[in-house]
Amino acid sequence: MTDTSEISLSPDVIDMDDDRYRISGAFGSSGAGIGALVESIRAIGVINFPILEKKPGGYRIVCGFKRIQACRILGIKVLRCRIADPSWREMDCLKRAVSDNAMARHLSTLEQARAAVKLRLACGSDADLPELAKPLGVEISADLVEKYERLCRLPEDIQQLVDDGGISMKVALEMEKLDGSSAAAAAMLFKRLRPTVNHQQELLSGLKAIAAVSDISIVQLLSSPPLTDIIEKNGVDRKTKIRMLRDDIRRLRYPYMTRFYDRFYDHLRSVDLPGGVSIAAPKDFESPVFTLTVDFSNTEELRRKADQLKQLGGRSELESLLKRDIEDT
Amino acid sequence: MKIRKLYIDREVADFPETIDICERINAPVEYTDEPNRIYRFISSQDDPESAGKRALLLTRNKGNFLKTCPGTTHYTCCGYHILHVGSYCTMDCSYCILQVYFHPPLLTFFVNVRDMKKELLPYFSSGNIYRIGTGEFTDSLMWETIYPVASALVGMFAGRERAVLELKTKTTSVSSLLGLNHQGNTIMAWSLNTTRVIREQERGTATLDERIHAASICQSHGYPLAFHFDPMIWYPGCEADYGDVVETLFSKIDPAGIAWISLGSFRFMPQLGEVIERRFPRSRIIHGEFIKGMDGKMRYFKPLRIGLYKAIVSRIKGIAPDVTVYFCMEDDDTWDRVLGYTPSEYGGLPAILDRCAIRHCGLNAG
Repeated sequence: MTDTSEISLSPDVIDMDDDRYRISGAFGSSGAGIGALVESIRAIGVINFPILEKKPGGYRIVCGFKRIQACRILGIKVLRCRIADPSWREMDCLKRAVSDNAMARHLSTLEQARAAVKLRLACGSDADLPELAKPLGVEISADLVEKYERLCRLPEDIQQLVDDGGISMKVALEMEKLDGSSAAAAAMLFKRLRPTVNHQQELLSGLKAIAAVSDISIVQLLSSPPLTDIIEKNGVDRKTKIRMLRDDIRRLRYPYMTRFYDRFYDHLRSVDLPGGVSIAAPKDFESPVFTLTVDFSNTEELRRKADQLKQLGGRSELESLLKRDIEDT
Repeated sequence: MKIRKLYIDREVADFPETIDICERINAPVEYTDEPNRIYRFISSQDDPESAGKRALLLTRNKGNFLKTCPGTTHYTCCGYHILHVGSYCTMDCSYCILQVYFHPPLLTFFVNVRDMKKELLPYFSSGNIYRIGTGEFTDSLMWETIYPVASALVGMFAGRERAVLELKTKTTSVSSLLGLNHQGNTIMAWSLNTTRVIREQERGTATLDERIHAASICQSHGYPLAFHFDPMIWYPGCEADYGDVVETLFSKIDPAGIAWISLGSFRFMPQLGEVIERRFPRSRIIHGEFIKGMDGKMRYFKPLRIGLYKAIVSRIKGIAPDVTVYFCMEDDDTWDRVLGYTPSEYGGLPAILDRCAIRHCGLNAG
């Protein structure tokens, strides 16, 4: 394949808004996030020239979005660039764009997603995609590319939150089923409180279900008591707020179950178990089997506790607890 | 839902059943040497579960027609046998397990009816009692306008000493069965639910009143009846609504002619939840208070199930104390706490239902 030719040109003829081959994340026109590159170019100039593709009325960037932006910030009037041979097809340019990024650094989730989605579109065959992408430095499976497609369709602020590690891709994809304002409200909550991925999933699925059953939006749910009171509470750290939110969402999501457990533990306290003896409820109360744990450190203590347990076995409070009479109260 | 396309496996193109069905269905026909291609086509659709209701595949059942109920671990199964005459359904219930049971779900009718009859014969001469039904993988009566397989089976079971047929439906398609000499060996069964659940979750099915009316007609023609409150769906006030269903039922049906009533609460494999969310976005049924059951299926929190069962059992027993009520896929603990006994105390659930079949269908007690 014919290679590139080098020319010098004015940055003004380069269309900075043409994202056809863009893999890297956006950076503001002020150059925030590329300060180090600006300083490097100021000191020693551009080492690897950007690659451009000729288009009607100017050029589009194949590789080097950040370099060109840095040059513009520095006020450089003439740029040395490499121009793609006219025989190159879209895929030829795209391969260089992906490889240029992937070989220079570890791609973020969003960059990988952009690379995968663009390659898929140009490739036209899902079956060939993993083999095509691998030598370019991108590992993709059919399942993953599907998720990347969905990620790239989400609102930009949610995409950015995924890229920043604020929310997991799984949680972000759950948000695609929400209306735009609900997704934004949930994203804002996660950005603010930074719950773990598991807690994000738990909170989001709880919010979705409560909103659906109450026939209100997640925005309305988060902006009314009791949740808004927790979120806006002053003097409470974020971990405590997360715990309080989880508790309240669980109560709203599973009102019968939480009342049942509350009654169970009240009842259990009334049984007045001996020290070092505990009773655990069956998992989710699905099986009828309770678990009794006895702590002891010598045979004398074991004998003493065995006697106490024998007496415990005759207590009506325990009988009532095991029969789960609390159901009818 | 109207069938818009008829696919015919070329292997069965000349079967009389195929020719008969082609005359009854007004839809474009496509012959295929490779039914898997049709499955792939249905799977590739945006809404495969709906696409599978608009197309009908006529093919041969290459496996056994008769299967034991799949049941699940840890919960008590009734020991019923499934006669697999066809798959999937033209009605569209949000909670339908068939949406994820078949991959993909596609209306399929097995036209090798002669093989089915041949396979059934040895069961009729066996010493065991067999309760056999066609309503597990499809609705038992929805095929009557396509091919009268239920009518054929009623005739085949009539007079058998140790076998009963249960036809389970949400339709009112009973007219073809009314004049048949069934001899009590066919139990006509309806799935019942509250008017709210029927209206909101059971698209394209008969109303509660229509179902009970159809049942009363069958009762007047001497058919034993059965009713299945399954899946019972919890919502605020549902206990009163299920009580109303019981009242309505017994206002039209003589309990003496009811072989059994089953109760089962909504339970589902997690993947069904995703289908319901996608296909029935207004449905709220997946947002109930579920836990993961011992068989991996999502089930209502047990105390909630028990409360619901107690409420409906008390209404049923208040009106019809002698009707046999059983649970579909519940554990001994639930049986004991709602009914006051476990199936094993009476020889197990299959034996309990066998005795009902003897009593209501006139089977030979052996």
